[in-house]
Amino acid sequence: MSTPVRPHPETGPRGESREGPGTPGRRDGERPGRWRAAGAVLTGIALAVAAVGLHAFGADVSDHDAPLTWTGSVGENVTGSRFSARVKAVHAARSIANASPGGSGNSPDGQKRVTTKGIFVIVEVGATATREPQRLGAPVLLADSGRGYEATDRMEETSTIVYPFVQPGWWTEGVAVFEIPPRELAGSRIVLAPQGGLVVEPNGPEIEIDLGLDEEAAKRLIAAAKDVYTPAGRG
Amino acid sequence: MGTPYRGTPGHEPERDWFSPEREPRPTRDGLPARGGPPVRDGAGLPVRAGVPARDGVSARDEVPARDGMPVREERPPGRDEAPSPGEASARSRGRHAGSRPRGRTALRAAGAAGAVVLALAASTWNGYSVYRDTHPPDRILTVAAGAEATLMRVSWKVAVRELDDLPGQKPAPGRTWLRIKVTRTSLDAEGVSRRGEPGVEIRHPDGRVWKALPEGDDLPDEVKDHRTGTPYSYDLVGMVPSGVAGQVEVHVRPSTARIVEDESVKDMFARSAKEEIPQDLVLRFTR
Repeated sequence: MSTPVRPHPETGPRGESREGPGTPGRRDGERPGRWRAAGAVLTGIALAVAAVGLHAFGADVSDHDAPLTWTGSVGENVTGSRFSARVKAVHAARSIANASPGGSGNSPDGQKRVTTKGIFVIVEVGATATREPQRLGAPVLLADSGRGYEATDRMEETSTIVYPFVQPGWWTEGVAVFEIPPRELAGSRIVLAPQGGLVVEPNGPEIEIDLGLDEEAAKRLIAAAKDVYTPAGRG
Repeated sequence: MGTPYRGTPGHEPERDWFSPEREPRPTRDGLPARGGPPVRDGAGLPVRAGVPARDGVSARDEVPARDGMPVREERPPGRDEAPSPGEASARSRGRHAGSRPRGRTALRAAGAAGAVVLALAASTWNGYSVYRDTHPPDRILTVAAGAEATLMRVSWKVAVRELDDLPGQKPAPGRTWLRIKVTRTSLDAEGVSRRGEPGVEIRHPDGRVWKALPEGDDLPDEVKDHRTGTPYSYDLVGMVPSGVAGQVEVHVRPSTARIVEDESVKDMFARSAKEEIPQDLVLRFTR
């Protein structure tokens, strides 16, 4: 019985090195090993930094189900997956004269006038569907401040873009009306998306169009605001 | 420590980073496997029984191990085939720095890539199965032009009229109005019970869909007036681009609701539990 027994030839940090019979132990305190260790440490640090950075600045859980956004500017036809949209013009107004069929409004000409402490922003938008008829959900105005303003509910819905069906083959025109503080106008974008159902759809399409208003243009728009905006008849 | 980690040796290919260190087992004849664990080499690590271990211990010096703990007696080093440390590392590098670690790196990379693919595929498949559950594919029954089709004891017929203008509507150049009349005839009492409003849409074979908006119907308000064999119709109106007005087809999805008169809620539940109504049947009326 002469089974040669070898002790551990080397015990690294993981203690896992074991050499076969006839293979002598490995020892080194030489340069290549050190460089390799330094490289491993640096790689580890880099990975840790990347992980922390990704956690802090990368997509978070709420982004996982966020809509897919197509972007564009005023006058451009922006094509999304399920619908396309465009912005023709932007106006401002200090009040809105809603048609009041019963004539029971607060003004003698049968209109119901709504006023605001801020300003009404009227965006002329158009939309067309790719394949299936759909309605748009309430448009949102995203301000530079990060706040979002949903289209006002003080405007007759039948006069706005959310009322008609958007169908394939032609553009459906309408307006989106927002009531916002005047200082939020500069740098704002309008966001359009199909009306949501009962089940919230993750990663649905949305189109974001920059209204192209810098500080100057926003000031001019507010200065030129009409006293009364009268919605066109529904079409 | 003077012995930095230098990768796993090549002669244990099935071991990787994640595997726990294996405890050596005593061999069959009661001798320990080569390199019993607690006895370490000269790296200054703990040694059993206060006896420093050295390479090349012979069986004569060996005390049979219990629980994988061999005890060895000291031997002067350098008397056997054990090479010097420098020689050893040079030799092991020469042997292992070649293809094997590289192959293992490739295996790990492939494993990581495979895991990413699998994770994405799983979430995509999950999303798709949810979509398929909520949007089951329709079974479409094609009906020849002008013909009638019978489904759930009701006979269905569709007539389409193209109009350039519709009174009371703004003119729409390039678009054509479609007046659609969907006629239903109940074949018997069972057909009468299926009198829920059907879903109607205008479809082009290329997949585009237009809305058909209901304008009214002449179905009797009272069930007792609903006679079998008498046609009743729904009027709908839709608009399509003029170019496809002659090509579009009307799809009718008969309501699967079964409305039985004077039925108690208890009976209704008992019945609906037994019934198996296909929810996905659509009649496609070609033109």
